[in-house]
Amino acid sequence: MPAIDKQAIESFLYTEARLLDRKQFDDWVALFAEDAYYWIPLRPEQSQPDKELSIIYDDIDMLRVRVHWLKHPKNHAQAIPSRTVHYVSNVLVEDFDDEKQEFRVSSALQVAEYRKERQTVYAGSCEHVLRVGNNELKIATKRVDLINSQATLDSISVPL
Amino acid sequence: MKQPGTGDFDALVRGDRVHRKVYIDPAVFDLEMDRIFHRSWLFAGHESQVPEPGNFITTQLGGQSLIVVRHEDDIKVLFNRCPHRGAKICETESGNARLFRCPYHGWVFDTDGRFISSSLHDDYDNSAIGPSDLSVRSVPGIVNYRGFIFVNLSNDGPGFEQAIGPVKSAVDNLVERSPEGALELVPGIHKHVFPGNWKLLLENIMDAAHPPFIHASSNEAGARGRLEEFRMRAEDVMSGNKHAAGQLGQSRLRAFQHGHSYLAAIPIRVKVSPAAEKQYKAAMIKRYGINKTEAILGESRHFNIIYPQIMLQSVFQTMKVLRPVAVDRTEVSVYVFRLKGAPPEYDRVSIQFANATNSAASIILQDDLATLGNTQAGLMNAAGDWVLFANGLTKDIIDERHAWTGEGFSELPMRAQFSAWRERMSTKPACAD
Repeated sequence: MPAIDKQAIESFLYTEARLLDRKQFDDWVALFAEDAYYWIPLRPEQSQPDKELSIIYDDIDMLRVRVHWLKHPKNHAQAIPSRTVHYVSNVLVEDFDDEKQEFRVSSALQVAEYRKERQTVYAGSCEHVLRVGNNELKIATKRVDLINSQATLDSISVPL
Repeated sequence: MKQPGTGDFDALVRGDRVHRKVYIDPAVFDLEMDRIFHRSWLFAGHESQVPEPGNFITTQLGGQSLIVVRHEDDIKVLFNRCPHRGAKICETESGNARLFRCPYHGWVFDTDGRFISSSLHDDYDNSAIGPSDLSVRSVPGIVNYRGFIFVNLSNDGPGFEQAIGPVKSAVDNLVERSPEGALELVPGIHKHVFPGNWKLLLENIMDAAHPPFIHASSNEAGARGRLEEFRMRAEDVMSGNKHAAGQLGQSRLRAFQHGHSYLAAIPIRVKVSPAAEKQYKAAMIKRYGINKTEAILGESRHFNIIYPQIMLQSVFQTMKVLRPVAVDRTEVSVYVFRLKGAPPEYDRVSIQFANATNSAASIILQDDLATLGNTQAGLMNAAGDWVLFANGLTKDIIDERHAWTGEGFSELPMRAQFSAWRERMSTKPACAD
């Protein structure tokens, strides 16, 4: 096991949440490894993103495109920007892969979003695969399973 | 100018404009449900969703709850309503049923809706109720066209062949892109909702003039995607909406009776590895021969509209289906099809494209949805009652088959949609049974 304890992992997740709430999107993307995926599946038990539809299945390229879009002055979905609070709780370190040097961390996620006179709440479970390198953590995958992933959804314009 | 009344369709729709009332008046919406959605051929599902006897899905169409079920070798579409006291006989979204049992009083029906038994049956025997009244009702019209299940909720209106007309070729082209001539639904349906009238979406889909404005943000962001060999790059994913205004201006539009249309001659292609493309083309030529293969793959329609509900993009194996919920609220389901016999890369690329362009979190779609919502809100203003679609009006060419051709940014599809709309809305339904 590397010299990273549970507290450091929790602190990493809270920092990620705060970057999103403060709209520091470039800093958020910098937390991801170059081969990372950011995944919001459509079906709760989904295991094959190449064979089923997903709400988001972004590689690092698409994630950078998404962030560039978020910051773009002509983004109509965020013409009036959202305010968000990301709550992260129930953090559990599930296991550590010695070979890959990766922690698998599960958590519960709630995101409250306010925009144009309306408040929306997203809720789901989250799984981070966090890779250790140079004594720091990088996100190898972030998977968010929304409890209403199969519902008819409104625009989801903020990263969860 | 005097305001046209709700039922005065000739005054609401003119050659180059419509009154804003058609988008915002709940009374117009109610009439649309009755006169358009209950008398059109609507998409209820794809046969690959119910491959085995007893397989079923439930769905909503035209305000009706329906069950699409495979009964023996046949596909039936039933109204999800117990003939006894009206409860829905099936609550789950999909599954396999030997029989349907109403949860309220336990009445039992075969998978074709036929009444089998009820604990109360003896008491009904001597009543005036006949056996057919004890069965679950089927929709009056059902057609399985190459695996696509179309239904008509009434016996009224034109038959399937007449109604779908030349735009049937859109379904043909999608099916024929499979080297086996067969499709299968990719698991999952992208479902989203927007706060606007359903007609706004059909107009937006055929509008070649909007992308440089609405999609400037995603296009400029997409141009930053990094190159990586043999993988659909972010840039490629975005290309469906990224064309120079000049390119879009060279698009060719076709519109037909009953409101159908397509937008063609915009260069779009699915990007796969040369190896996968070679394998796919060989399989296609084996089935269709070289000439027909070239014709199938050479067709580059950006979108087809099967009025009033279906938006089909065969190049990306994608179909959007709209469901009006209220005058200012519309739900959309997006289906992606797997081409049987094609290399898996084709499906992977189409899935990737659909996720990027059609999910509720898509950075392209969201700009459209925000704009449709803004348009609906803007139309509530009493200042200026008319919505204009005169572009290209004098340049449209009509041929002997009652089809129109337009060029570039012509608003021809909107004119064709409202021509059909006025005709359907002005026709009172035959007396319901």
